[in-house]
Amino acid sequence: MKEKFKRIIVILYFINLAFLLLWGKENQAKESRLLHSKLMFIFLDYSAISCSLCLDSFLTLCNTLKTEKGENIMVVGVIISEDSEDENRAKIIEKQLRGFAKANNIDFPLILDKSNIFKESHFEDSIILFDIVSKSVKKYKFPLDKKRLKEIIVKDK
Amino acid sequence: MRVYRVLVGVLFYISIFSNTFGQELAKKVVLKEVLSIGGEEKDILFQWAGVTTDLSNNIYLTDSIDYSIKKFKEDGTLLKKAGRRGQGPGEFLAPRLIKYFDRFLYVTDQNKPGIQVFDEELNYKESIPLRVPVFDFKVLSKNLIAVSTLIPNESSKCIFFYDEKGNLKDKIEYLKLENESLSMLSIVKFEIDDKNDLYIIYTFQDKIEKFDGKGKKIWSKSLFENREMKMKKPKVSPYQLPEEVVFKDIEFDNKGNIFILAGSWSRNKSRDIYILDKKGNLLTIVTLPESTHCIHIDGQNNLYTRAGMGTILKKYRIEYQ
Repeated sequence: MKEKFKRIIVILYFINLAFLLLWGKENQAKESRLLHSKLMFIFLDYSAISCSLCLDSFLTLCNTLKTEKGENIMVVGVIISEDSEDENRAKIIEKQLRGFAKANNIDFPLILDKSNIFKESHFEDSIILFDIVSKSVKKYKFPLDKKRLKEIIVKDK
Repeated sequence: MRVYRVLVGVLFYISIFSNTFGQELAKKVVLKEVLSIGGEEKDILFQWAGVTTDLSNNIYLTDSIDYSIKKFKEDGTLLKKAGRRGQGPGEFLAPRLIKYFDRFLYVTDQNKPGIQVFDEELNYKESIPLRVPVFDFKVLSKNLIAVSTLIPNESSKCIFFYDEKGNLKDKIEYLKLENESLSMLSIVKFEIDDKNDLYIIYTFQDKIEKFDGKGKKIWSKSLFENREMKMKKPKVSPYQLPEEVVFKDIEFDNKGNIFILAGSWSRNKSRDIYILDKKGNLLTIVTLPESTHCIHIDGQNNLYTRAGMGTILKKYRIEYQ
């Protein structure tokens, strides 16, 4: 009797777990489609963060995203640096990125490309925008003019 | 009469050697680390650029990553931070040099003209309007500031003296340039001592020079033999640009020695400090553990340098042996 009861409990547990996982995933997927109809990767060269003039266009984009984007764009900043494979240098760069993000009120993550995946990509100082609704991928280069900025930020109806 | 002659003789020798004896020559210098501010774990310094100290041994730094000036106590405790990104009063785009003079701080910005003035509590007070970019400066009095700059298309290269309103008061010519395309080679950093003598180091030339207060050259010296500066001409620039920095910074200690931070021509790049007397004689060389872009020496002969790509400030006591 005890054995039978235990078996029922285990079966119920797995049914419950599977239900929760599937239901949760389905819900998350729906939310994901609703919340992030665009995915934006901003690629920046590390040297740009201490070059105020190089930053103008990037910071304009950041400010515009903050006020205009709503919740439809998910943004990730990718920082490319030649020295990022060196563990000590990478730690210092990450610390500087924290200071940079705080000083400029940047609220999306800035991730250092420690494995140098994008080193040879020529993506520095550019934006890759995945539009899930129109199923398109676009690339923009800094500095952005007003037209490009509007094109990136435009909200889904 | 004989006693009188002996006395005159003694006085004569004293007068001859007084200049040498007045300066306590450094034969060997050892640096003892006494303070370290910042580091990987502490988000206090991100990329400091300029350093100065006041008479109470407080330390002031500019930080180019978070567009700020920071004040630290002698023990390294952060007392105050001021500034943010912007073009307005008390704001920065790229804060660089900072100098303390008589209860005030003078701060330059690489991307903003002029010099901003703050009090010891880092409150913005005023701006000194200058039309030229400031490469180096020294506050000589409340209303006289010496500035090294780069003005293209002018063959006469000078240290300029401005008042607190930005009016040009005087200048000392240190170089007459025949080929304007080599203008970048005339960039200098400098120090002025209490006798108003001017000491110049060239950023892109192996040349250290001393002038008197009237602009008469006293001596000129090189430290590296038979090296030629490699030049390149970028497509976008009308000028040829040097590829290596020879000298990075110059400071005095309170014993009358000249400390010169050498760049990439020295054996230990950006780590070797050449110590000269005021006649230009090389006394000794001291090597820093890490490369730095600048040096500062306070009134008690403590040396301040950069480490950890600008995330750390090191303070060393200079010991003379």
